[in-house]
Amino acid sequence: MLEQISWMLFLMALAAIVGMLLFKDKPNIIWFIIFAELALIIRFVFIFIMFSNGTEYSGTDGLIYHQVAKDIARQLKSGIPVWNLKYEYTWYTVLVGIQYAIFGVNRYAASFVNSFISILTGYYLTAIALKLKFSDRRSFIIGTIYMFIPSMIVWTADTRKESLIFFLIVLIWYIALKVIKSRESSIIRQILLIAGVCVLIWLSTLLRIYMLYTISGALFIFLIFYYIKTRRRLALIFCFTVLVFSLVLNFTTVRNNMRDHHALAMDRSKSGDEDLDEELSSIFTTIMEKDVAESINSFLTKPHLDDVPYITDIAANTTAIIIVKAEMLLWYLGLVISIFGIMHAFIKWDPYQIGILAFIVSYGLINALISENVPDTYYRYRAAIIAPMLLFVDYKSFYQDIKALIMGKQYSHQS
Amino acid sequence: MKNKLVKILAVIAVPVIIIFSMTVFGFAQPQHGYQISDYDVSVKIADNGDLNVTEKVKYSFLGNSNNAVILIDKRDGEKIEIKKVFTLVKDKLIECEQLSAGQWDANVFNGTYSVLQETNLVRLKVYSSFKKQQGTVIVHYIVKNSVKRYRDIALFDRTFILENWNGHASNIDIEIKLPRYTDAANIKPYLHGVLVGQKDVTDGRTIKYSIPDTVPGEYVEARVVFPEDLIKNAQITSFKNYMRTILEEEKEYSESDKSHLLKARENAAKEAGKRAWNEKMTQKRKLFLTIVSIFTSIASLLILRRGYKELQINQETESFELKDIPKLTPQEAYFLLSGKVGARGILAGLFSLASKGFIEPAFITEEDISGISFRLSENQSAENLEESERYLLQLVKEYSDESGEFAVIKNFAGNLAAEEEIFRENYLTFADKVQCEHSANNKLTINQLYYRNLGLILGVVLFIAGCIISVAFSVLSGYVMLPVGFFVFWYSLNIQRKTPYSIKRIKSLMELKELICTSDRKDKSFPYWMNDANRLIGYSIAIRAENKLHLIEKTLLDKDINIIEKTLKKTLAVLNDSLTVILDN
Repeated sequence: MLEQISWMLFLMALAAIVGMLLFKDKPNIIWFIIFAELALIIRFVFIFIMFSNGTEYSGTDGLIYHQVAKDIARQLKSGIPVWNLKYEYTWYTVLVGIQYAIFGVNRYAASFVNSFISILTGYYLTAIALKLKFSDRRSFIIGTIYMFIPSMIVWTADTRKESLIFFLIVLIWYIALKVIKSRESSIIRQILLIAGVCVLIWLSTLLRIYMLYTISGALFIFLIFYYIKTRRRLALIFCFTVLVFSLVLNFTTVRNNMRDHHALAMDRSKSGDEDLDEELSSIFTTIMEKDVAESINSFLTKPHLDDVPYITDIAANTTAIIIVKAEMLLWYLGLVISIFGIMHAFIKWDPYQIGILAFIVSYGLINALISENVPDTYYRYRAAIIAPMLLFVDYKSFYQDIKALIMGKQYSHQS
Repeated sequence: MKNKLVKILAVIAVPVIIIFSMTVFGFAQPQHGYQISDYDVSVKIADNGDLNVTEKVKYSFLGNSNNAVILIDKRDGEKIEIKKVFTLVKDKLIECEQLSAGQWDANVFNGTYSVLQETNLVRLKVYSSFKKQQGTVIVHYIVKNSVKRYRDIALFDRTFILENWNGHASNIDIEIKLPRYTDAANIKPYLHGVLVGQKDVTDGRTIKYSIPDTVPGEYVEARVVFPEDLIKNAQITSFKNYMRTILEEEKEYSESDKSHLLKARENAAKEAGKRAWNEKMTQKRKLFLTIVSIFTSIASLLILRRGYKELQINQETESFELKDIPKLTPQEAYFLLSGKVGARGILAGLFSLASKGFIEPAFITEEDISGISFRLSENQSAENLEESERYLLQLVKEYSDESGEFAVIKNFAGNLAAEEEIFRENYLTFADKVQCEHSANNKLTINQLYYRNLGLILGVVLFIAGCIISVAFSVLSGYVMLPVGFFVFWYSLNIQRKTPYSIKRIKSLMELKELICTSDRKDKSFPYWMNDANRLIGYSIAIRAENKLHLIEKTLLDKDINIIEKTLKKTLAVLNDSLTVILDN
């Protein structure tokens, strides 16, 4: 227990320090840090409740990753270097394995680290909002909401890879924005940041195979539009680098990891496991069998309120059912409001926001078309677009622009 | 006009609100729980009282779940061992592999299962590549110590569809085989939990149950009484006679109130009716919304066309030719072409001021400090200048040094970091003034204004409706409203660029560009105003032809034209970069 407490205190202190460093020049930052700490504590409490109730019994990915990580820790201790490790399922297990090898096997600690990463995601989401010139208040509200979304707490508390996926998505977009906005940076720093984006794309691809296409494609759209708008050569170089790197990943990492794609009901009645063509044809068959409109509906709106009590993991838990239902209602509300934010991004012709939108749309479409048609799966996979989606949940800016236009002001592309 | 707009808004807002409220309540009633279309059970009773059971379950719907669950009845003293589990994939049996309790990972789709032992039941979860929420599972298991042996009889008693299972099952066939043949008259089968169902002793060894269907709340309990000597190797449960108890229990059951079973049927019928009605309504709603989305998309495009026609009115009366271009300030010319002021607008404006004699340009061509500077001329009256020009002149005065010289690159790039906020404000004020002048010159008529506002509102409503209808009601044609709505909105937003005023001027400016880019001075006649070098440079910047000046002149302002082009290019690049920084941060 002492070990657990030490981990929790260390991570809480780290969260406070990172928050202070990241937002040092912002007023009233203390409240935001307090909320972040609170979100972290909620996750810690949830981890204790979850493990005491025997999450293994109800079944999650977390357990199996923990077991693989234990094996990786054993390999590391026996002297096998990191690049020669044998691991299954996902690269995330290597990360946990390294933690186990250094600090000893402790699933609580691995879950605490995941919770901390989730808080970092909230920080960087806030930082993006601030860099996009959203008001301080709105930016901090976006970050706080993200950290307190109930399903986010669930997905990011266990030893699952979700926390890391969400973090990588937000971090990639944060760095991309930093590359473009920080004009005073030296060339070496810019090269390092661009290389960092490429490495993060690679890691995301290792975690979820189709992230390569969604992130690279969206970055491509952002950078091309940005170049068209500003004619900055840096954007073109960045865009070209991402494109070339993605092509390399497509023929290396993607090919090697194709068969491990999660949540895709592939046909394995024939011995096609090692055959890429079989895998691809299986994916296309799955897509062709789907009702596109229905699938998009399901991805964006499931679990519908009626489905909630039937989600296996929360069935018969009234509190959990009420929380999920409330979250779903808020999500629907957020979706409707974000339509205005999306239109505003278009009329402002903001390349960055259009790029993020491209990521949301492509990620949504891929998941709607290839994921299994199960509310729980849609619910979990949709979580990756919640953070970027929050950047659009604003009706005011659009309303004010339209009101001004109707009242007689002419529209221009000045800013 | 304002009232009219409010009315339009109200008329459009009401359906939107209705649609929105329908998104919360209007989802089609989903089917919950499993649906089994065929359920075959074969039970072989061993002479030690153990059961050898094979269940073949064909799911027509997996209840929106990624696994098939089979609940196996477990009574006191019984021990259940799952021997084999198969799934049927493309008519081939795939043997499933057992996972340790609750494990769930990527490879579950190969065909795996987990077994959870609960108090009164065993929960078997089977994962496979189920498609369209359908699948077939075959499970073979052994139940130890199942049949109870008494002094007079042996009792087989098992429930196959559990009462709290909450699914629908059809075509349930159960076949129970005794260890040996006996006189059929000694075998007494009973069926509990359903109102309709048949039981039959087909020969001296086999008992068959056939139940057409069950609904949530019903269950299937098969009870068979047979001679105890058939399971002579089984442990004796009790040394008392039990037949009388059985008969009493059965009498009690047959006389008991079965209203809960009737209620279950009634509920199921209501549910089915509700679902059918919902399904019908969903279909109708889909059809209605398909028509609505197509109709509104077409209607919006027609309104847009009507607005376009409105813009064509009086187009002939508007006249603007090459010679009239100087009536337009270069910054407005650029605004007309691009919708923004930007670096070109500023530089073009400066050359316009130069052409009017307020400032005098100088092209600095030294290697390290090439650029353009403007020197303030003798005091002149700025009364005749446009508002934006006056403002630009004021800025030049403000930023020029003691000798009255204003170096563009030095002022913009050099002081950028220190005065970023001031520059931003200055630029936005200048841009605002250009925009206001343009708006004043390019006034929309009342009808044009009406169609612009209608287009804006319609575009937004259509876009929102497109998002809601397509997503919430799964109507594919709803997606049509997205591009249409956006197009209507975008067109209306930029309607001032389509007025006769704009079109004529844009046409003339394009003509000028063509004249500069493709001509040779010998062949073409240029309007007289082009003789003014500063004016020519100003407009060439506005129409993005400053790099083609060499086609019409070898020298300008007594300088080599190539030097001017190069300097202009550099100055524009620096200005543009500075402005991007100012507007980005």
